[in-house]
Amino acid sequence: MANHREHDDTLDEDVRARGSDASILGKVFGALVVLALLTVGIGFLDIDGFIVPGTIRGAGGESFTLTATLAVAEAALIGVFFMRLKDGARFDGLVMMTGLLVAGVLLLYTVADGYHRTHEDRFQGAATNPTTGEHAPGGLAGIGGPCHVAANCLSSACQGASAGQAGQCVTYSAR
Amino acid sequence: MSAESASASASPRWLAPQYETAAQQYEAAKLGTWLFVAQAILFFGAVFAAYGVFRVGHPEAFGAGSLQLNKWVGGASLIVALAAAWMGALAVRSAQLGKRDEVARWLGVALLLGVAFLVLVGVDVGACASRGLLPGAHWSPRHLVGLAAPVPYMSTFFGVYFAMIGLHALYVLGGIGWLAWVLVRANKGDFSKDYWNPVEMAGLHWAFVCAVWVFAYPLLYLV
Repeated sequence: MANHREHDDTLDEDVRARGSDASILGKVFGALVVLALLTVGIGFLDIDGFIVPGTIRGAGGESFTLTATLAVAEAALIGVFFMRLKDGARFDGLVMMTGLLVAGVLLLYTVADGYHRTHEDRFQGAATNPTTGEHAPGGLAGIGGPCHVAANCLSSACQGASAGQAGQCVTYSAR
Repeated sequence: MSAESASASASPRWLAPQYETAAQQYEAAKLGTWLFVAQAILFFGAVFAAYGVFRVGHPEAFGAGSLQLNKWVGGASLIVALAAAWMGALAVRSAQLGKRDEVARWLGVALLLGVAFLVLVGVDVGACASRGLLPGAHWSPRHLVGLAAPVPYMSTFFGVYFAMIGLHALYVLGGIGWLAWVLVRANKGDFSKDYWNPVEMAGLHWAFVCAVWVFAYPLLYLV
């Protein structure tokens, strides 16, 4: 952008030349369509069952990993070519990356916290049902957590519980 | 005539008084738009975080909820969103090269694709509503796909679904309004090879809005 400051009232040819080649933009769109079709295709395939036969569809997480990878690739293409990160000032890219980084930290900590509370909560003790207050103090009842009745498990069944003996929350197999 | 007024009269009409040069105005506009995009990333990040937390807590409900959505309609909306982003990029390119007719043409197509996107999403929302899949007081699931009965906490999935597509639809509507305003100005001949800032900023925001759907679609419809 340094060249721009040499002009008082107009932007120079260098900036106009940044108009990407239309054929490149067309090829990028073609690549995006291919990636989008792959994403849709994965939605119809049982990737997890294919990799490890017998795995409940979606339970292996491979579909999620694949679609997430494709989504990141698509977003990168849009950012670099359609949002012109490849041509713009590096500071613009830094601003966007900062936003992504902060959002990523927010996402990571929130999901990790939610996930681990359903398994163990060393600092607050056993899991609890926030509705009834059972198994206080702290934590959220869920997968793998201790339970006495199904009501202790927010989204799953209580298995193995008997009089005076805690069971374990297990998930349903919906897919 | 004073030196100051002479200087002002020499400036192009599109150069705002607080800027000394066109380049300064361009850089300020672009940085401002990127900052807006960065805060929008954080805004959407909160919804995606909610999705992550609830999905970890109720994976079976999210799997069952995802089955109720129409993958084909969602896939079509993804292709339309990508095409809309492409049209926006072409409009910016034409604006940079000073091709006024092309700018109006690409902006018009991008705008129409934005409307088509909202219609496609609306079709799926209508299908959900007709089967009682609205979270809250109107929750009365029926005619479920692949399920004999609703899975516990499936309404949570639809709560996140409607929050995510609702927020995204607001951004799409904002983007359509922004594009329409730029289109009107383009038809009035406000842009030239020396000044195309509004086209580029609208295109930048439009591409971001389309990119959000690249993540939202597979999370809600596929996995």
